[in-house]
Amino acid sequence: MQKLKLDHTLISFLPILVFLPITYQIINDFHIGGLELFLDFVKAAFTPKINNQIINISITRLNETLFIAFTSWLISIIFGCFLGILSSDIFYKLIRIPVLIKYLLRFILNIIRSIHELVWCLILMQIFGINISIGILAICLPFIAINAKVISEQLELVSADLIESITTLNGNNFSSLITLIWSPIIKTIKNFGFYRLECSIRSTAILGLFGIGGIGTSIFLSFQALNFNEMWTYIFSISSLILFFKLILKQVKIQRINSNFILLIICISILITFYSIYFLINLLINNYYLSNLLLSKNIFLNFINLPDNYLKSIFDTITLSIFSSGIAISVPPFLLLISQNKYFIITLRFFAFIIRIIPPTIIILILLMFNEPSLSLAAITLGFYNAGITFKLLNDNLSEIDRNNYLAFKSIGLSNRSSWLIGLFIKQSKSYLSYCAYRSDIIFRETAIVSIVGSIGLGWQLKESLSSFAWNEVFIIIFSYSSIAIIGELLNDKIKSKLI
Amino acid sequence: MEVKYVPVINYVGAVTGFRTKNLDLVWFGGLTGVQARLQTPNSIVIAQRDIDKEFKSVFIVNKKLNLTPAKELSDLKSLRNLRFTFGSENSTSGRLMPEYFLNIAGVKTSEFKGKKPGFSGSHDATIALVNSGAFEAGALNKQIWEKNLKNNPKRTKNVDVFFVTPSYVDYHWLSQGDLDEKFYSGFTKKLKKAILNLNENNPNHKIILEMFNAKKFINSDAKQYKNIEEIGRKLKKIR
Repeated sequence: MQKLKLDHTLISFLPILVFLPITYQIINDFHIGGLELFLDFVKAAFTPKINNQIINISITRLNETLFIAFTSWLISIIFGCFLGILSSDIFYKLIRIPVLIKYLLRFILNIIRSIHELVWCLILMQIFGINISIGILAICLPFIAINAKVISEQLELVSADLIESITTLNGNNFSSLITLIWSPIIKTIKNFGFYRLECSIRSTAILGLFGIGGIGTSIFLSFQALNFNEMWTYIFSISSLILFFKLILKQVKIQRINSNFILLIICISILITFYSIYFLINLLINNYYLSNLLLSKNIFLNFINLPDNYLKSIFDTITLSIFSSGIAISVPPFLLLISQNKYFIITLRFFAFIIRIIPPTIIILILLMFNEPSLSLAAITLGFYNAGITFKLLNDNLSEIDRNNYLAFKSIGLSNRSSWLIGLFIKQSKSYLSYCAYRSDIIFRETAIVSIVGSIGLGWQLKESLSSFAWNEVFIIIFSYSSIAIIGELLNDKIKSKLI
Repeated sequence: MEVKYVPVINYVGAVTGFRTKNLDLVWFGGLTGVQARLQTPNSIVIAQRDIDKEFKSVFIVNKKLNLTPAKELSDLKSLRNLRFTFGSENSTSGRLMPEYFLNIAGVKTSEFKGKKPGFSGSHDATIALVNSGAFEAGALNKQIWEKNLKNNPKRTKNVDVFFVTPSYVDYHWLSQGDLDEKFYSGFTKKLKKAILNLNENNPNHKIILEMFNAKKFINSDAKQYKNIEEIGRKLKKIR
């Protein structure tokens, strides 16, 4: 009989312990003051407001959302590919330019990636004003860096033998490079690039809550006026859009592409690249506020004038990130362990979907009707939002693996739970934990979303400093965010390499 | 002449929009108007409403608390250890001045339940949240409170006024300083005259004035807002 190994499995369940301090604080801070409002919020989900005016607003706002999301996605894919190639090892093996460029580029991309698009958006809005192009830029910056990282990692997988054989056959280094990278890039766009479009739609909705436009702005305005029926109409509209895109993208298959089509894509990409560069240069040159800001003294890393409660904000942000990750890692396997009943799992899938579609900003505002703003409340919000994502992944993977072991353990008299644990979950725990390590990088960046609204940590401090136009504080906070994110990512890389 | 209305959903966005010259004329609160003027040299305070030179905030509490209304400023101490919400972070009447008066009364925002106040995001939301009991007390614009009291009794049925603050100057129209060059000579003067001449006896003008809850607009001056600037600096909302 297979011996029970609890190493990875135990690690998947252990983070459930974060519920001890969280539950203690939540119970202490609990009140029923907002019960009436909460019931209104829930009831409104069953009676969304539908009339011509709301439908027209929804369509206009969804159009804006789609425009921002699609443009950001397209630009980030093009630049992501370009910078991914430029920061990959294979490029420097074939093209003779200083390797220093690669390290410099990777360093800059790491910094850009370490800052969440919402933080980029708040800063850019403050400097350049509120308009749709700022929303696009805010999404593009981290998305380009993420895409570049994924592309360059995929290019690292090209074998040394293949590189040698192609370069031997093909005299021209540039055409050898194109031959070698073409297939992995297309494969990455197919597997990862289309998924980024869904991410782009979600991000646009979140940025909209902070005023950039699109459906998110309507969700925020109706929530602020406590017009829940209207708010649900907008939430259902954006959910339908995401579901629609998921269905469409499932159907997209890239097989053989003819050379004219490739030429067309390259021409469009070049045009978009040039226009984006022109737009960016124009934006930077014509902004005297930015140039004055960059030239002013005491802006960069003036650690003498630290924001109030700076160290506590850092501590809170790290703790929030750890608690949220703990929830996101441990809740899905724990819930699946409770019961394998079909209807229970369908209910869980439904709730996981609901929690993924309601922006975490709205979730925390709802929870604030029953609780004081606290670290635990923010952790519950972010943790369960991400648990919705980790649950989907775990459940999908578990449904794909062979169930013979599970059935065999059941047939020899083991309980349902033990059979599920030994027969199914144990096979998945390693890859599940590996994904969770990657997810915890994202969770750290996402702390900005809940901490801005939940009056916790660096995000809140950033909002206060931005609204006071205290730029030296803003730079310190961004520096701290970026440093912690990069250190966290390095630690997670070590964890991932041990898991694989 | 074509006029374009640009809705901006947050205070800071309006300041940035004005600084980047995307907006020519903005209806600012006291604090954001000062922030915008400091960042946009030569901008001009055009006018304020009749009520803005002596504007007030109100502190409201949920009726379940059975708190005796405050007779003087120092009675604001009774709000300690309550779940308290301001409006928007940069609102003069919903945050800045209430926080200033709380400080004078010796109440720090860290003394509220949860060691920090909430920010409802708007004056109407403050009333709704205190009315529902989600927060036990809050502060907002007196004019919006009175409007809700009159038009929305359901939303105010569980709320009592706890304290009305001393008066201060608040909202005002702020225009760019170069509108004469942008449009034509004498434009700014004409704009100011048009706003000051709005008369409630004229049915069309009345619609506009009612939207602003004003009887008329009056002349205003940047100097009037010196006190707001000082308070803003004291509370670190202006650096």
